[in-house]
Amino acid sequence: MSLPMNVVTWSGAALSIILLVYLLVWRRWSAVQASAAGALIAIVIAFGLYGATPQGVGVEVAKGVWNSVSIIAVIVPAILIYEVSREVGGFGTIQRELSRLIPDKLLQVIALGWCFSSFLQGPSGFGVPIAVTAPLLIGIGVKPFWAVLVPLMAHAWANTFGTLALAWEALVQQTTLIADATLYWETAFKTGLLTGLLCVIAGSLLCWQYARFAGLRRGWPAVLVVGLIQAGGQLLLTQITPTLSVVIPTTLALGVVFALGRLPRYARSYADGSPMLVDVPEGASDKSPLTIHEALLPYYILVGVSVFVLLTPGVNAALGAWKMSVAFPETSTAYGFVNKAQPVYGSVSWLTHSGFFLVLAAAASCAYFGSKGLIRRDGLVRILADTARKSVPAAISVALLLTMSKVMTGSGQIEVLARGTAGATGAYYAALAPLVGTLGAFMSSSNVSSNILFGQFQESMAQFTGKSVSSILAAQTSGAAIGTMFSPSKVLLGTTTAGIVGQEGAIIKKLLVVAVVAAALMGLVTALAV
Amino acid sequence: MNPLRWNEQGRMSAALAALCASAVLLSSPDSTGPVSYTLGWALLVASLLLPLYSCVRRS
Repeated sequence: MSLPMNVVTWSGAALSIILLVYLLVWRRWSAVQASAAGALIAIVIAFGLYGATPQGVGVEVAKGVWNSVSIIAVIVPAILIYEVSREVGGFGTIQRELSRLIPDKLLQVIALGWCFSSFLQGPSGFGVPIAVTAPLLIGIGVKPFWAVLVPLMAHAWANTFGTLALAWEALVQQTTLIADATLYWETAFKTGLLTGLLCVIAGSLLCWQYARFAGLRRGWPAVLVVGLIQAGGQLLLTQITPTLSVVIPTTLALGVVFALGRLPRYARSYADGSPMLVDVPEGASDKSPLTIHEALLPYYILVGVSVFVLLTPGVNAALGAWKMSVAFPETSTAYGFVNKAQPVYGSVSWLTHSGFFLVLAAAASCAYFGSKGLIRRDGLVRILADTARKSVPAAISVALLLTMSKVMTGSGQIEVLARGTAGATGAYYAALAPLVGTLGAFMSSSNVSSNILFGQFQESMAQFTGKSVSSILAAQTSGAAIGTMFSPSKVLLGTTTAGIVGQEGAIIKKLLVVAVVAAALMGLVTALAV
Repeated sequence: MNPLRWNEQGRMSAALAALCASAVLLSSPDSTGPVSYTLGWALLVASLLLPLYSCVRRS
């Protein structure tokens, strides 16, 4: 027996995703409630239409919960850093000093929301750019809603080659890119082009959202320069060292954006009328005794430790040697859809994980501020209590979303969804190839997972339809980068550290439009290129 | 000890604990006894329904 591919099974597979988006976006349910409903429906569909066994579903639930642990390990310390900074008045200092270095508000938003978030994606990832940047943007006077939306949109381009090209490596491992050097460099180049396009679109959209045409007029030189460095630098480096093709250009762009702040064009504050800004920013009445370097201490430690550990091969290998994984047995559905036994599933190197770097940064900052008398005993209790209070809803939502994703994958629902879509589009498949990548990343919140899930499938589809393999694979991973932009888990990370849990639906609704337009544009480029 | 009477934060914490416990009990069906395995499913159902309780109560 094989997996049934018909309208009923395809619609059943789509139902959980449609329900999730509907409840989040239109019914404005919280992420916890919508993900619980989505997971429940995915399990019912798995039993009812896909012949799943209780053993199979149970194992997929366990896989989903295990996968969520590495994301929750980022959420909790990221909230902790936020609470520490808030307790000592760090955001007020950052707002005050950033206003001095970059007087122009739009350029401040570009510097933090686009450059800094992309820079953080270079060595870290796993949601760190959103969790860290959202509170910083609030600190400079950006409304919490936009403080979450801007980094989500503006750093998505860096997902494939960010985290030291982890997602790119996942694609390489899943396909014949690993054995064909010509195809490897050709795909890397096309991926650089597509994600570079996304980078420039995101920068331009940021200016548009800031103040429509006035924002574009004011921001275009910065978008041009930063876009050229980030997108052009990445494109160049994909042909030399894909591993560093986000780290190097984003570091350069971050330096250049501060230099742009000295230009006469950006020498005075331009904030009036932007819907993105609050009237009185958080730091307006700042009396924090911190210097800017003290306020940025947690982020210095975070970036310093991440870059040192990940780019020093000896240290990386030594710390990365300690891994934790879980073993799962083989399961199959009544239709013969087999999930092979996984003796080493979801291996995590905790000492090279972003969560560990965040814990180090939080602990060291706490110790430093404690020694200066800025955090007392009652302050520490407040920090820990607020961290715990904010972490629980985020943790349960992420765990339920990944449970839903694994149940859908393990019962064959995702396979039917992708193959059904591909079969229906036939010769026009190239135009929809990015959407498949987007779907994978939306469900799993990960560019890496989307590439693992669909890399091989996309290659088969390219060969089956006679299209260019390099173009389709580039569309897969670039589409997946788009999917991370509005995946519920990533959005939740931002709303949690920004203190606006419950507004996930409104943010997803706004980003859904951006994502669909970007994926359609990418699809058009891919269709023309194949 | 009735989680339905707890506040939303309490219910979410209970749901998270139930989901984690169910993942442990359901991860290896061959080596888990029938009682523990049934308990795993009960906890999974509870972890899915607890977050939805607020919606039911609101409506």
